[in-house]
Amino acid sequence: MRRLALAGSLATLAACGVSPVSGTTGGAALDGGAGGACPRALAVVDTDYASTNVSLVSPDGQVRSASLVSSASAAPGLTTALSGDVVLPLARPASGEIVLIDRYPNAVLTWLDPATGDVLAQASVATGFSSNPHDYLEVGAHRAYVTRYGANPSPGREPFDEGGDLLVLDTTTHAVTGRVALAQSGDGAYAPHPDRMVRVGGAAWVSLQRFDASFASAADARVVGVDVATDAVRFSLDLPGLANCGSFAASPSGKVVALACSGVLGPHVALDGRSAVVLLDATAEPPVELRRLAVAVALGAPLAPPLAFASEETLVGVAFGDVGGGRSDVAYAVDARTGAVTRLLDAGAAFALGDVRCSPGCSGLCWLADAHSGALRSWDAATTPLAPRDALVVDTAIGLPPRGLGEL
Amino acid sequence: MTLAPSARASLERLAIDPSAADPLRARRVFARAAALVEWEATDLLTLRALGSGECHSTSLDGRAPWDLGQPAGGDDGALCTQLEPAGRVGAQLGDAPVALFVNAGRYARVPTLAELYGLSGAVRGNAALSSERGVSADVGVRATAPARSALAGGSIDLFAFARRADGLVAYERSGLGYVRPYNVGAARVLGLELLASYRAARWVRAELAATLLDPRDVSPDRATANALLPYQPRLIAVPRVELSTRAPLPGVAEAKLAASYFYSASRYADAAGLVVLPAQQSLDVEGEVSLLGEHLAVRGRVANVLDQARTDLIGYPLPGRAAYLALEGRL
Repeated sequence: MRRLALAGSLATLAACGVSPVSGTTGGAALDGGAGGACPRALAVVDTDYASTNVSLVSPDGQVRSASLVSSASAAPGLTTALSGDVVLPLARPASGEIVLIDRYPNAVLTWLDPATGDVLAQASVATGFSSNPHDYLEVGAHRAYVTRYGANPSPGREPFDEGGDLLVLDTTTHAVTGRVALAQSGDGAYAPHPDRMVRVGGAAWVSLQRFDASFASAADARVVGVDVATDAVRFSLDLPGLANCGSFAASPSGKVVALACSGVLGPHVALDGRSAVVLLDATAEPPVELRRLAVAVALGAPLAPPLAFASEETLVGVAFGDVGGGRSDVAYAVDARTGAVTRLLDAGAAFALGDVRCSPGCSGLCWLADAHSGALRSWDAATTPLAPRDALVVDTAIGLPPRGLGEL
Repeated sequence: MTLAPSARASLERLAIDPSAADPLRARRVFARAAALVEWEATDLLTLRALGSGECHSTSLDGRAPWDLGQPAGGDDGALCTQLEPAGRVGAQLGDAPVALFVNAGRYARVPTLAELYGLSGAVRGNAALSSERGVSADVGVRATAPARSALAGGSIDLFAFARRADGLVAYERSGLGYVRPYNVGAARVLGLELLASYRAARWVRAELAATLLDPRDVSPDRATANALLPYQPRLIAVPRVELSTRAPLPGVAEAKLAASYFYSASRYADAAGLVVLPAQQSLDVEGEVSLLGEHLAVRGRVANVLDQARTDLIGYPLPGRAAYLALEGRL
């Protein structure tokens, strides 16, 4: 009887505990080799900002793995669990690996094998402070740049610990080998906060957000070109009247690079006149501004960073909603020649729409992460106007909403 | 039949002085009026009904809620901005040695100032919280063993309860390393509470307190596979044994020695159920000796005697074994 009671007590204790919702569905074999002309898959970051799951989707919209890795994972080599602030690189890594950028406060990069879901490596880019890495760009067979948005208030305690810079990584050893300073004389109170990167010829273009310490005011946005062979700054281009520019988009021909600028977002996420899409001539160095598209004015809302070319003439992006003002996020398409704006989607909530990725000439689709509906939205980019397709739920294992997209 | 009216009022103040942000001053005025009606319908059956109304007013920026004027935040300018009625009816069948209880009611809970504006760097607030409202019901038994029975010295309270709440205030860990409250759209909590004690002899008493809980998010729009609410362990158990004796030695009025074991089952830290805080358990031993006719008391306590690993709400490790000694004099 006593043994029975003891067994019952132990069973009660065991049954009352919890274990992570597993749901890991492993990796997926992808068609084609890494570094090809077209993406082999989309990596999707599903997150509620408390925990994160990563899914894999084929370019045409088949869920290949609902949960490759998540905040619950304790895979070999994974010493830091994924936080709720994870993004994917803007540019497709030529290595074919999935690179997760765990931004703040972890400041950790994680490399995954998409075929197996195995963690290949994990490296901290904190150098003693929460450096808030924002992007990762492979610039050679064994080299990558990492933008670090945060600046270290107490630098000088360990190598490369200044922040507000580009870190140079050896992608073989995953060690930091150098740093590219992006501060300039005359910055004054407006420190550089490097955000996203795009490769244009032999240079990596870096968008610099230039806020003061309170993030209440900002200097003109700046684009800096860094020579990927020498790590030297090749050009610096200010964009007068624009602020808080984030994500780049390269046109299919590579001749034009677009940049979405949000302006300074106050408490009510209102327009401040410094939000627009700017088109830059990528055939010139330093690049020449071709046109500004007043999308924010047309939509009555500041633009969010996500932006992608659906075709040589059409861009797809997102405008911010406002929780307090009852305004929802909006997905838009804009004609790069005329500036005509088309509303593609009203999200039904603010801060619901995430990344945009388009593959003109490949899948011919544009994908948008919609956290409010918990699904990926997509459009056929070959049609005018863009034709919507059925929504796709990718995280069928854990149920987290999609917010981030990256190409493999 | 008896009628017992009651009234209560309180003023709560919260001051936060963060190093990198503006200070925050909040005040809450709370008033409650209630009336309890009790009717002994028969020798065995007693019926009870409780009705109450709560009034809450909150202000920011250090001003009292009754300071009418230009609003600057919160509910400034009104003395009773939120009125919450509540009620409860119940029945008791029998009395000692065995009594049965059945209760049901409607309740409301206004978020505390700490839940709205934060408590510390690790426990932040959420000014967008709304009140939690729900209905609850419980059924229980209270039994005491007869003095001449084999279980003499034993007693037990066992209650089962169910609660359905809209806007339940729950906590979730943020990726930034702090916890923050949020409203769960709809929640259902089932539970069982046990308090048992047994005095085997005059000098030894054993107790067991335990709570079994099944707290679930039942919101229609919940997307996550996990339904268990974060930061709510499904089992908490605290067994305790106390030895005591009076005048064991000359000059010693009383001596006590107690050992208790705390066990809290593992729990989720996030709504998705991906982050798990491990089970928490510790053995504490405490003793007390009263001297000089109880004018002097010496108390000692060793916390977490087994030096078991424990973590805080975020998951950071807590200190291990610790010892405390206190001396108290009474005139």
